[in-house]
Amino acid sequence: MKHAIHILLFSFLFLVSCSKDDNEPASPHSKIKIAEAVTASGISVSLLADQNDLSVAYNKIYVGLKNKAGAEIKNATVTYTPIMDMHTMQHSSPVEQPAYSSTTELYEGAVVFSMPSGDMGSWQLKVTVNNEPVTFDVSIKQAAANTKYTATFKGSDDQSYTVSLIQPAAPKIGMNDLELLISKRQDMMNFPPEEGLTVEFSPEMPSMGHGSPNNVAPIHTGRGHYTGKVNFTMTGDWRLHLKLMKGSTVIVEDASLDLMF
Amino acid sequence: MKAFLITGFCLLVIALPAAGQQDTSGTNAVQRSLLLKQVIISPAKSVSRSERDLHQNHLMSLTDKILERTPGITMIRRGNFAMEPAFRSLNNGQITLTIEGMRIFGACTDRMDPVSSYIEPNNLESIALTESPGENANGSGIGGGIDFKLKQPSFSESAKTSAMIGSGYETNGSAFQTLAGINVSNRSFALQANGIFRRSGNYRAANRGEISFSQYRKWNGSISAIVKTGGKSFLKGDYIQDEGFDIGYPALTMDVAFAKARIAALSYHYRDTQRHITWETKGYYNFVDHAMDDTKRPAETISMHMDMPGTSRTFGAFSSLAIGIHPKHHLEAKLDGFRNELSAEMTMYPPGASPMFMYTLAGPVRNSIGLSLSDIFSINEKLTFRPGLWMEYMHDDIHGKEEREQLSGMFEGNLAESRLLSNINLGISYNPTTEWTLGASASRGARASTLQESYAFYIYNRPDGYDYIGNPSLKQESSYNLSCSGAYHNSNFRAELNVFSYFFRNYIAGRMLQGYSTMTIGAMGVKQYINLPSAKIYGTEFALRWAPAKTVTLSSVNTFTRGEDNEGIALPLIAPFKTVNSIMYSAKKTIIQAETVTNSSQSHVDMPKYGETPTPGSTVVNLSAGRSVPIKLAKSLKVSVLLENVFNRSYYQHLDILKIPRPGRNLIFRTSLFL
Repeated sequence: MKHAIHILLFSFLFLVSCSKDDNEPASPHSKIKIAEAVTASGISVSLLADQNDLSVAYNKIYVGLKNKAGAEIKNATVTYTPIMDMHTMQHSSPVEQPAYSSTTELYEGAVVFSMPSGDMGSWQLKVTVNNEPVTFDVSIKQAAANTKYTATFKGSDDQSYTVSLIQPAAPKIGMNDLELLISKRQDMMNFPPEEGLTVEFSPEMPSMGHGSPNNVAPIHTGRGHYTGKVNFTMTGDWRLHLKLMKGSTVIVEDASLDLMF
Repeated sequence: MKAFLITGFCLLVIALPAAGQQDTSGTNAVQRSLLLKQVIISPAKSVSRSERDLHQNHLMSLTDKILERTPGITMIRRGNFAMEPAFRSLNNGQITLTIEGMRIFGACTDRMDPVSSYIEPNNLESIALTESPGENANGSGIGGGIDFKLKQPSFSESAKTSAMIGSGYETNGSAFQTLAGINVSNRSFALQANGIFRRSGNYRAANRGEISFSQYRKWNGSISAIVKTGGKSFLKGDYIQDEGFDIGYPALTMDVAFAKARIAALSYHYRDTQRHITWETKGYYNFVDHAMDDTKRPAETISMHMDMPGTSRTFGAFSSLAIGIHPKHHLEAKLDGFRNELSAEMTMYPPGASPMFMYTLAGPVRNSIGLSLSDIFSINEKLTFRPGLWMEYMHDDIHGKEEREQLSGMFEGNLAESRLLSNINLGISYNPTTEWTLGASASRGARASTLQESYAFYIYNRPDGYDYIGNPSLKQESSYNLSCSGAYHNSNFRAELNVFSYFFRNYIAGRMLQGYSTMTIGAMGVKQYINLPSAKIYGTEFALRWAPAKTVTLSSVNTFTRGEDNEGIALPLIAPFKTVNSIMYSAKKTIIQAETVTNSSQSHVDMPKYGETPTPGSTVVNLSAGRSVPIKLAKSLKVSVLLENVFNRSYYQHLDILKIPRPGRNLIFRTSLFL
């Protein structure tokens, strides 16, 4: 019995020490660092994300700032500018500008990458810290087969609307929170959130042709975010059919997104 | 008098003091059961020898066929195997199906594996029917229940060993059965072991050729042993294993890869014949494992391959005490508890997309504890009262995080449900003369929704073609039952008449859900179980038996049931008028029987609400003959020949799902050797 307790105690200590080793000094977050750069004035900028890879989707992107002395900078003004360089032209994509979070001690924002990196062009993310820019080359992966987490649709009002899935990030069978970001293209470099749309919503399994009951259509909750509920009755491929309306005018008939689990 | 039979044979034995009388009443028990109550499969010694011979060769027939011959029971047929028994058209959760008092539940969401499919005639002593809730000590229900009584080895004064082997062949479907059994007994120990293997190919229907996917293959083994633990007590152990494979269901879109059951029980019995006390305490466990299979079907009939396995696990225990306070007064009490865990899932494999998984039964668990009290007392020689009570507390819930999450998308609020169920019965029988018996009973039945009715998740129902969704907040279905009976008998003639009615409250049925899309490809829509305010089922049973000579018996059994819901619309799965008439010649060693089975047409059906279409009438003639042949080195050799559907009629019955034709002419040979 005593022996067993020793083993337990030992393995516990071992685990604790391991997890400390991995994350350098104890970190209040579990984000993955994907790049690092230093500004002209010597501020070190760490770029972090939830996953190793950024992909064609709504991506949460975080920034950690440290001064030359290695102290956290908590009150900087940080902005993101994604830039797609397609050789002959450049364009941006929808962005949620970061704000400092005292819980993670990071600046938290999001970028919707609307196409993958490749022969067509390459992505850069410009991070401006107190008017000092640093530029990261980022590689954006194609979304997995049979998935479409973000898509742009031409509206009946001749405007382009980008619809991006925020939640469910980890879908499960049963009722899931549904959260979307809807943005409108103002020009090639600006994609402000679109507020005040009415969204009709129904999920479907394309390989079966059936839907599910008890879904709740997303409604606008601020900054172009629309939240509702989606009921997945089974695993597999699901298509989220979204009808975008301004009042009673249909803007986009079927702004569909696809996911799979 | 009939009342005595209902509570079972052992009670009867205690109730009647003199040994001589016991035997007579035992014989009566068999002969009197023209209508229901007790179907003897492995008869006691009291039965005439030729009748016993007939029964013994029936050990090779399917339990389904024995049930189907029982008056009042109709079988819902989905294939050539594993039919589902209904009693007076009450089925599923409305009646209880138990094995020697043990609760057991099929694992298939499509009701492909009723309890009776895991039991073979050679496991059984008898099948006991209870027609009233309250009198049924095995659970709550609307219409009593069917209890399969397992074989009971018995102690013998001197060491004895006996054995039998048998084999049978049926021309239709090239069906083959072989079975063997052994009995060993002495003063303090007795054991019975039995095994059977059966196999059938596709059967042929008259004019309709071979019915594809009607094959089956199975084996069943059972062992039962008793050990004396004292002058008045013994321990009994039972184990049954039943495994079916490659079972075709022509009426369904899928077959069954395997259907397996393991049933185990250990019980302690105390019998004090002097003080008329019988006490039995039993603990049991059973596990049913079932997997549907579409891989044998032609590719063009399968829109998408899917796996649909399911399991059912039940633990339980009960203790029952019967006391004969007085020759004319005895009491029985039973405390009963069980836990049933179900799980069923479906995984579909769409081409070029990821597999689609869901639970069709997302981990529902039922816990129950029940108390039964019943009393039989005779005021005088002519008047007997039978009050009965069954109270049950039941709690249903969902086990497992994923299972709960899945149902969160379908049902709001708490998924758990608790219920208190009460079944009450009062029966009276009156014998104005020795020839006449008149009876009446009034009862109140109530049942909880089945776990499928509570928590089904897009379970496809082939008869009406709808996907069904459960309803955790279903109210209990209840009924007021009234029945009257009259019986007359003299030395060579017997007539019995029963009239019965069930007036339901909160009848559980499916109602179409608008705006729900189907899960099953090709389904007509989605229905959810709801409570209809009321419904009624009524009917009559009438039987005659006349022996014009000592060796000749004529009999006629007639049943009729009709059902209507609250809007006067015909309920589904109600059998039409059925009449079975037979003539039997039974000499010392030979028995010959001819019978006609006639079902009238059923046109009291409803298509829009319950998806049923009319069924034409049918008549089938069956012949059978059996003979006991004396043989050296063995006790006897029994041979029988049966010719079913003599005129090769093409027919089906109203409870045959999808109206798949039944087998055409079938010649059956059976032999058994008793050592």
